[in-house]
Amino acid sequence: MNKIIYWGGVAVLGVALGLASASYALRIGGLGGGVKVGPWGASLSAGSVDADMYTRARIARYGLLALDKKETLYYTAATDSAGAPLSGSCTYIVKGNDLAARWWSVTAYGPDSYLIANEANIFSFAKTTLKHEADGSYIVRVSPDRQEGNWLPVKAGERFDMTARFYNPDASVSAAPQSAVLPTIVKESCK
Amino acid sequence: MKRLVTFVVATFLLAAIVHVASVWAYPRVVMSVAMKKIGGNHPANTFAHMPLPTDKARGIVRPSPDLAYSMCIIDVSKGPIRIQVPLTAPYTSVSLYTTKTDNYFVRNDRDTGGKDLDLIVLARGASKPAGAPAGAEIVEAPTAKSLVLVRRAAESAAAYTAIDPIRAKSICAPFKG
Repeated sequence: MNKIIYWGGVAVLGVALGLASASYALRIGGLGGGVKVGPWGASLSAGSVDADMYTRARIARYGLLALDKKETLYYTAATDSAGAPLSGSCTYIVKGNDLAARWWSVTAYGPDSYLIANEANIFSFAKTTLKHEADGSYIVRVSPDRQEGNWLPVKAGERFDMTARFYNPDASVSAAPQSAVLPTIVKESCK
Repeated sequence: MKRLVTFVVATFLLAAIVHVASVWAYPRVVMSVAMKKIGGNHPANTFAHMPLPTDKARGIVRPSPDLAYSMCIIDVSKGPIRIQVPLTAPYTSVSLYTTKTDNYFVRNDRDTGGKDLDLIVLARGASKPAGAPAGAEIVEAPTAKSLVLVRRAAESAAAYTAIDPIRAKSICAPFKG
């Protein structure tokens, strides 16, 4: 009887510790890591055949079916340029220039990593769908409320993050992903 | 005292084994579930064309709402598979993934210099089939099953409407020399 409790305890505790530590290891860091450009982080081993066991598991969780860095670079921001977590209760001004790639887009995702439902059915802004300023730059408002000009809707009361995709990044960017220029994300107002 | 040491050592040893096994298995399980979700009742070795992802798309995490995806699950264990994909602007790519999520092959419209993508996928070590057309690129698959994913950038709903009949001409089928 004592033996059953003893080895049963080992089994239960061992399995629980193993699963908990595995789950923790996959949750910390998300897909970020790799290089950081302001609030934007890129995981450079995404999709690659030389990804290690942990990266592969994180990819499966946060970016299944990603492409490798020569084809597409993915940068994700979960905070604004000041380092505060992105909140659907605030309006942000995203300001920048065209990304150095053949084609590019920026998409907002909810806490479940899926697209955010909204009345306008707008989920992203992209190289060819944006209204540019006269000097070629752009200003996008990320907000739960409809905005004049470029608008990327999010859900009030929920956190969100944004992923910028560089399709066929310029050679200078794929060679040195930390040198990429990405838009700034500045909080304008909060409810 | 000895019983306590054994207890602690055995618990940590088991925890380490469970930890490594679950991290190792996780991408394989997720990929297998995703392939089932995508495949559904869709037969292997034919393309399924997806609508532009919206908030309703819940099959794969972090879909790109600007991409028209087409997918085909291939099995090269019974012979080579030929994949022919017509191109659309401004971006088209074909990528191949193993059952453990590795992206082992990718080509885009710029790589081919504007020619339609044409691949023959073989089992590792299989010899090039007789009668393979000169323009087709030969690819060795590391695993019997792979997921073929076509991405096309669609800049608007109108652009998507124009892309749809072109991508319907894509072919993913056993290669008969």
